Amino acid sequence: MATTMATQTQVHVFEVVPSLDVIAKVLLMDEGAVLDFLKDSKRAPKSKNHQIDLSKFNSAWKKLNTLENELKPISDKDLSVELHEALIALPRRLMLDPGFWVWLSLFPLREYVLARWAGGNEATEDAQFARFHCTASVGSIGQTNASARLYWASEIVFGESGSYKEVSSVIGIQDLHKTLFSNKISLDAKLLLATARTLSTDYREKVAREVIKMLGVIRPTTMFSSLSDADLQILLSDLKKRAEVLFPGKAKSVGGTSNMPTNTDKSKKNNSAI
Amino acid sequence: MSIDGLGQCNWIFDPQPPAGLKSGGSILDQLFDRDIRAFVRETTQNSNDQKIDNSVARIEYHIHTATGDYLDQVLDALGWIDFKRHLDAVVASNPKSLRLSRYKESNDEVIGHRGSRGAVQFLVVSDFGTKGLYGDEFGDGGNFGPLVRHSMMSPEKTGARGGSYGVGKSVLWAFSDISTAFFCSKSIDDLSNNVSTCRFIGRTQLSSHALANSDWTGDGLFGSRLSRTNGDCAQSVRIASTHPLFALGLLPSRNRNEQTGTSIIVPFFSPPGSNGVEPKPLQESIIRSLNMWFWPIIRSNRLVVDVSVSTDGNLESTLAANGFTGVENFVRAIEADPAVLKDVAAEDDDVSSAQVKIIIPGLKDPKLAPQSGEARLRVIRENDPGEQQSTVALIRGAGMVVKYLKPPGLGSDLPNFYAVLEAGTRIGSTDIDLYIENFLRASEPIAHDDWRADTDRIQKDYRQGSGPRLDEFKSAIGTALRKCLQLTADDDEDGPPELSREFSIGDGPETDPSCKTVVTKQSLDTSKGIWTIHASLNVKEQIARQSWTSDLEVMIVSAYGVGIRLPISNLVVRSGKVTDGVVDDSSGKFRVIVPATKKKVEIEITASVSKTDVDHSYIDRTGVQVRASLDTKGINQ
Amino acid sequence: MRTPHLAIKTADPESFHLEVTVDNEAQQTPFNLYSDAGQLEALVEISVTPDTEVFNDLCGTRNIEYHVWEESSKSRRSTLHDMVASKPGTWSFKRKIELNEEYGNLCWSVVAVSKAADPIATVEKASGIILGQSEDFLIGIDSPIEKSGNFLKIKWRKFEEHFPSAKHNMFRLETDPSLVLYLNSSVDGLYSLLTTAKRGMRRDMKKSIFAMIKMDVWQSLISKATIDLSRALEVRRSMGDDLDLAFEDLADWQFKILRHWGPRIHFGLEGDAWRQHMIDSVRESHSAYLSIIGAIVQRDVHISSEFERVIMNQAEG
Repeated sequence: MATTMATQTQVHVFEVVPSLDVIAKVLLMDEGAVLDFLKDSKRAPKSKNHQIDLSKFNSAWKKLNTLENELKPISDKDLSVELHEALIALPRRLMLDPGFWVWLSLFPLREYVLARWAGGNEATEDAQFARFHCTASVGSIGQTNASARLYWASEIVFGESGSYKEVSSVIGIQDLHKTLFSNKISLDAKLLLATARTLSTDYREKVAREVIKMLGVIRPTTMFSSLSDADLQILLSDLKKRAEVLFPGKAKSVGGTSNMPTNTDKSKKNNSAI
Repeated sequence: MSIDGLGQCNWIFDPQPPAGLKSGGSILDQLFDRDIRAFVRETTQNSNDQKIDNSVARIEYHIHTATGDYLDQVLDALGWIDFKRHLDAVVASNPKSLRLSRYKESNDEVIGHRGSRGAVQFLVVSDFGTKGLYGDEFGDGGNFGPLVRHSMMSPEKTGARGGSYGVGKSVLWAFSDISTAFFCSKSIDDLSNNVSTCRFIGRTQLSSHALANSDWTGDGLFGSRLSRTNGDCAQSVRIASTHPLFALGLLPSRNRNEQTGTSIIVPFFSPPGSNGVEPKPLQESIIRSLNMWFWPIIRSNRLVVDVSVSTDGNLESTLAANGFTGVENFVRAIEADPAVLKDVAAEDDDVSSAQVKIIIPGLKDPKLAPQSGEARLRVIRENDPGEQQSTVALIRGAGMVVKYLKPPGLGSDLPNFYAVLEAGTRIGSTDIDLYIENFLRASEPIAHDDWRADTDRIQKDYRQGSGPRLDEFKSAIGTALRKCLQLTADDDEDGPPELSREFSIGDGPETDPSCKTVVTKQSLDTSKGIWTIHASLNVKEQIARQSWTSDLEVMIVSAYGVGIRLPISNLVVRSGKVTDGVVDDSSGKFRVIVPATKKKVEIEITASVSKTDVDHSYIDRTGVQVRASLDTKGINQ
Repeated sequence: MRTPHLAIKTADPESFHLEVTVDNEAQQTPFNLYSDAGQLEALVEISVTPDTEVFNDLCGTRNIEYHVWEESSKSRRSTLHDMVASKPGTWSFKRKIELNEEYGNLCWSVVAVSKAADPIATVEKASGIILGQSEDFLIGIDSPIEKSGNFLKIKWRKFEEHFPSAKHNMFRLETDPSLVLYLNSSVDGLYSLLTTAKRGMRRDMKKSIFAMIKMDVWQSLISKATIDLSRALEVRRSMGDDLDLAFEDLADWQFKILRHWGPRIHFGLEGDAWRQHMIDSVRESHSAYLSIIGAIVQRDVHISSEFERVIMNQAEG
């Protein structure tokens, strides 16, 4: 298997995703033990007929790394784009395979993952091992695995709009990204983008959670994707406005603002009073 | 010896000895299994042992049913009038000593008087191409004396006992309701002397009895009277082909040169303890027994056996024992081409083979050290049920099956099989084969139905250790069997699919809910924010055997989360019965308690949106679910 | 999401008169398009001929649009496709599915949606309201090995060669890297009994051995799955996430086992309510939970009746 610093890296996939225990062990192995692990036909990832160039990504994250060797969440939006560009030629199916993401995180991008999620140190806790782990669930690929979460944030935006312009609204605020990508909203690109756009402006966690909650309860009767962009924005803005009434307060500075203009609020015609 | 027409033969019984000892019959009767297999085994084996060199022996079993005039003539030819007087005397003095009680009770319906008799069955066993009965009337030489006159005497010093009219002959009398047998023979001596007549005599073993003011033993002979120094007795007579027994067809003709051999008439033929067997079933039973016990020698064409049925001298049917029917799988095992033998009989119809070691203890005289040799085992794996399934047919040089053995310690993991073990001269004629043959023969008890260490011959001729050696041999048969049948897995071979299916799990929840909720109607009053839901709660019968409790909750369903519980403000029973209902204000759940025997309750629930933080502007866009959970405390799961 | 009972009236699924063809052949769904069948792509065509009266009644003054809704968690899709009027009264849609694009199963249905001026009006007047949804159908991309059961591979091995320290054991369960149950072919007679017993006493013995293995293996698997669940719960808790998400962090086989046994352990609950009960039980006392599970597994496997049969048959001889 090629090292992370070579220009081209042969893609591999774990056919059986290793458990947290195995991930923890691999992270502690010395080079010799890693080589033995990679020769184990049952456990080792299998080579695929694809090559990727991670050099640009690696340069980018190292550049964003502070003197304390700890990557901040604000790096996510730029690195999401870098990683998406590096993997763009790979088949979509591979991008859905948890075995690919575990390999990518555990081997070529290990340093990045440790820098981003373990403060640049060795991983010692399950919460850190979990960043290398991946399952096929919505949340695991969407927000838990360190590499997959970067890629899919850009993939959703790029696939829907053809540009990376709104990646920052999707992944720029870590809490918002987590809320959006831990449930099925993240599968609906149009809804996700519109929601991220709306909520990343003057972001407040409670307001965001309330909006997403309301989206969930009206989903049985409302097909969000059938609405025009403008109509969807009207709906989201109305929900946000109502949530802000429920949870008054000021937005905290979380970094990463949306470049999109805010939408004009429209009142819902309210023919009922509770 | 004279040539007899009718009338020259008499039944002559021995007088009671001076010591006054009485007998209730022959003890040898008791030594055999009391079914037709024992009779067939003994008679066929005896005939087979009398073969002339390596020729083919032919045996005929002929079941004669005699009635009316025909019967009268047969009984006349057998000296019935004379015999009956003694028979009546025996019955009168000791009615239970013979199996004659039924005759007495039926007023001699069968035996009866001339012209008014019922049907009587005679079984005639005839062998051809055999030595016949030869030897002096009263001497020890030959086989005539040991068969007809003597008890526990073997014709051959070298141990033809059991198989050559030794003790085994007692089956003949045991299977006659009147404990009587008649012998008619043309011997090889007759042939070489150009004698065309046959030697004929009858023997009975009744109980001691008193007749005509004299006491008699039960032993009687039917022949011509001979006066000897210690009294009168009967001797055999020569009968020509004109004799009524030939003319009536009871005895087969022996006119041709190759027709040496012996015919034995067993009158009033009936397996002990039975009330007789109909001719056709008896014929089939004899055929079955022949196939069961003699298939090896029949298959090797060294023995031919027919079973015929006649009534009043008219032949009705003849069946030949084919040495196959009923024992097909054993035959397939032994006759399988060596080229197709497998190391392991892994599938049905596979045949495997193995050698089984046997160690024989040394001889006492002449002194000979222990010997070791091998027997040959063939096994066919076959799941179809059949006679003697999962047994080993033990065969030695005589060519009959000694026993169908279930080897010890076989285990119940093996598939079903049929196996054949050949030993001794059955597989070769080397010295060791002969040694094994003699040992095994010596280990056979009177009935020749096992190999055991407690026979007289073993005790007499062999040194200690026969018991353990035979036990080891039988165990070794079992071990060889396991090796032939026991499947072994290849590494990483798939496990049993049946076990794999036991771990089947589907793609979604599969359990049938114990408490099922069916919503029949729902409506939302948007002005008040109140849902009204009509639903039924349904439980299974076993749950409703006692009172049951269900906790209800109403949820607003969410596509992106866990949903929001709506507090239930009221519950009304629309049909069915509820013992009690309680609202839990803290959780918003409603608990209903339903009495026993009620499987269904229809309810109307009222749930309010107002106490939640759901934005009321959008409540008409929501949907609800009713969930019911069963309180399992006290329910016998 | 379980189908809720709505405040509004919607059309029955039968009102759509849905037809599906794949590669120009009408299909009974669910349709399987496994990659190991060698097929790389398939053209899926969907058409509906809705009951106009039903839908006109529901939409009122609004317009109606028909869309194909394609959803898949594993393939990360929740996409609405426009349908076109292929002929009067019929709307159609087609899409070429390529296997190197998808993963898992794709769930398709047709939705009728209102079209109006105001997205936030009342539900009778608003735009984007679902007036009805057809029955859905599945297209399987990956062969569902686990779907038909048999998720546990069972293999024979000579333990004295491969697992010398366990050479006297009858079986051995491995969960890492994959789930395999090894049976010990060194145990004299075990292979032929478990492979060939079909009738009578031998079959009874085989079934009682199966019951014993089942019991032990299920307990081991549930134990392993709940241990990993416990771990995942801690991870989620430390991340401030919804604890229910911990189920998604489990390996596929673990989740399926807990989904199979959860309702059996947490008896009498509706739907997914067992998940919260399991979370609470695991967090409260994992060891106590495992002992409860042991009793339930024993009951479920009917182990006592299997052995009873062997004992009684043995007594009868």
